[in-house]
Amino acid sequence: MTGAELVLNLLQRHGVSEVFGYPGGAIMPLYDAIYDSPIKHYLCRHEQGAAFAAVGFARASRKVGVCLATSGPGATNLITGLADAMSDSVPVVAITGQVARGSLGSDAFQEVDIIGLSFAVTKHCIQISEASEIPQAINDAFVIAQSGRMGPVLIDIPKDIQIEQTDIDLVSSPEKAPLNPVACSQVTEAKKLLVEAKKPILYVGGGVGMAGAVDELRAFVANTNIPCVETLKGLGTVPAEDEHYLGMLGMHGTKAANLAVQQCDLLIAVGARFDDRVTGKLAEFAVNAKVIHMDIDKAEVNKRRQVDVALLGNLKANLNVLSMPLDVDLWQQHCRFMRSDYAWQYNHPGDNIFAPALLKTISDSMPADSVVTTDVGQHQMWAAQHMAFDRPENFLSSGGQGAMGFGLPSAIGAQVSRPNDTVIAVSGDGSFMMNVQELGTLKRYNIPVKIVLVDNARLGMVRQWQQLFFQERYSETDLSDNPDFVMLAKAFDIKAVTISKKEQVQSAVEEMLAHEGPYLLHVQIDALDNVWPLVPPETANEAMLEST
Amino acid sequence: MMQLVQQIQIQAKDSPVVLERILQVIRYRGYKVCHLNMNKSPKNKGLTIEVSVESDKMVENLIHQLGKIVDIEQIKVKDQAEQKITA
Repeated sequence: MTGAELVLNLLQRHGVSEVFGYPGGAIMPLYDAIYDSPIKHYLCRHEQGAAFAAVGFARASRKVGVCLATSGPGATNLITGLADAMSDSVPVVAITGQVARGSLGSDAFQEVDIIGLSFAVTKHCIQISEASEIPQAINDAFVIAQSGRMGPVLIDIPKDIQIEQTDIDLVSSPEKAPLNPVACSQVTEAKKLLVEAKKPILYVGGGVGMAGAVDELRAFVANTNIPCVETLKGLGTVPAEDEHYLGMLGMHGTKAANLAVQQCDLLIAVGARFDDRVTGKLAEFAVNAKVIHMDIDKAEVNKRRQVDVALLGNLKANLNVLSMPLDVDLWQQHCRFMRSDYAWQYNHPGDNIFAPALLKTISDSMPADSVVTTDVGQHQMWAAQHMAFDRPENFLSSGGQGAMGFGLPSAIGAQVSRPNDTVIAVSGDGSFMMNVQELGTLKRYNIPVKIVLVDNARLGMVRQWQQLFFQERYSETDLSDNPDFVMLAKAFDIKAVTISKKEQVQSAVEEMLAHEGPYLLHVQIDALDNVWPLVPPETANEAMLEST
Repeated sequence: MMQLVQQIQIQAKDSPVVLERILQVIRYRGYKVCHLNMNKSPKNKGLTIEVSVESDKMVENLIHQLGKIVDIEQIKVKDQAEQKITA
């Protein structure tokens, strides 16, 4: 078999049945092999779309996402998607074609040093120098992508190696990612802090879902009675209706969540990394709290916040080890009252659509176990605030990188991985245009993603910051010359409807959800609507702005 | 701000990219290379890399980040007593 056929055989042995990509000169042998392969290839319309689709596939299914690209510009177009996967710890394997070995380093046509470019955005990268290295490289890529703190791995394969005939025997089984170790030495100290705490808070990050420890986390909450808050990536870990749940914390977090964290005397961070969007002014974040940090990545401990006890290792096991009933009823009651006192208000004057109410309506109407993806900006924060998710795999948003253009292609990947579930991409008019070409992918495969395009004809989040912090100097944020989005969708043979009044919302949402194929719901909202609360930069989280 | 020079000794696989990866992590995490020495071990065909870095940050954070590089097999900081402190 050829090197290219060997690659596809190995992917199959690792359970891969779908890949996302875009062909080109240096990866043509691999695409020639795809022609006869049972692996289903989804042609995205830009390599960034393929990378985000792989991320969406991985996050929605907890499998490895695979994307393919050619050398040079094909490979460089993957970089933003890989950066997103690196920041948000997503297991992705990217395979790039490369110029033939004899041309390496000669500035050949479409040659770029993708290995050099990928250091900052991958967990590991491998350039194949002999066909015999392919099995080990593919195996290493899958093991590394899924072990410890997960992340992306890139494999670069020169074109002549893809063509080369090999007689490699595939009898050996693929290696499995090793189980993460369990912490033990610090357990006694952590338990002591838990027993002594009067006002503990559980700060839940995306690591819980990535570790498959959602059930253990929920059991821990129920057993300990500790109120909890979640990061953007942690949403869905604890059900929104759980009495212990106070909402998202941080820059656009709920008032109850941020105040509870600021008041707590013990903060238990689980699979979270004290991101600057979470902590606000770090020196004033939960200043009276001792900290227990549970994580798989040693490098996150004491990186931004000095902790009192670190429990490194497998979250599933470590949560069970720490779980015990605690006497925190008064604190739990106080937090519950805050949640009630500061609950979201959906009263909004006038006839225009209020995005938070729109998103709550969609959330209340969508089938159980629906997946919601977002782009980046105001609509992203409104979705995080006002929609409820059954599990972390059901809310996909570019957290660490905040990469506009994530929403549509990640929804494609999610829908491919979960064909029987409803997938909704919530986008904004700025973000949507960043990967709008992926409407072509929806059409090509009739992928039934529902797009909710929240259109304020602005780069809304930047405009909001210009209003609040840049003396209303609205530099390059007016998008009132947007295209006709309905006409644009129809050009791709995708059904599309525009609404602009509150009275249209319920029926439009029902029609969208009932539609069998892809659908675009274009929602015009007031250009001046803002996201509240907002913690200004370098400010403590209790000093949030609530409106202007 | 007090700048601390700290010496790190790394054992790594003889991979074509490992040195670049190490240098990228050192720079990105806010440390400056003052001295670098690399030898190929005749015994195990691995690499021994000695690097001195300067920063106002604790070296432990860098060690943890370097420890995530797949090709690194062992990493240690030389004794504090051996380190030089510069203002």
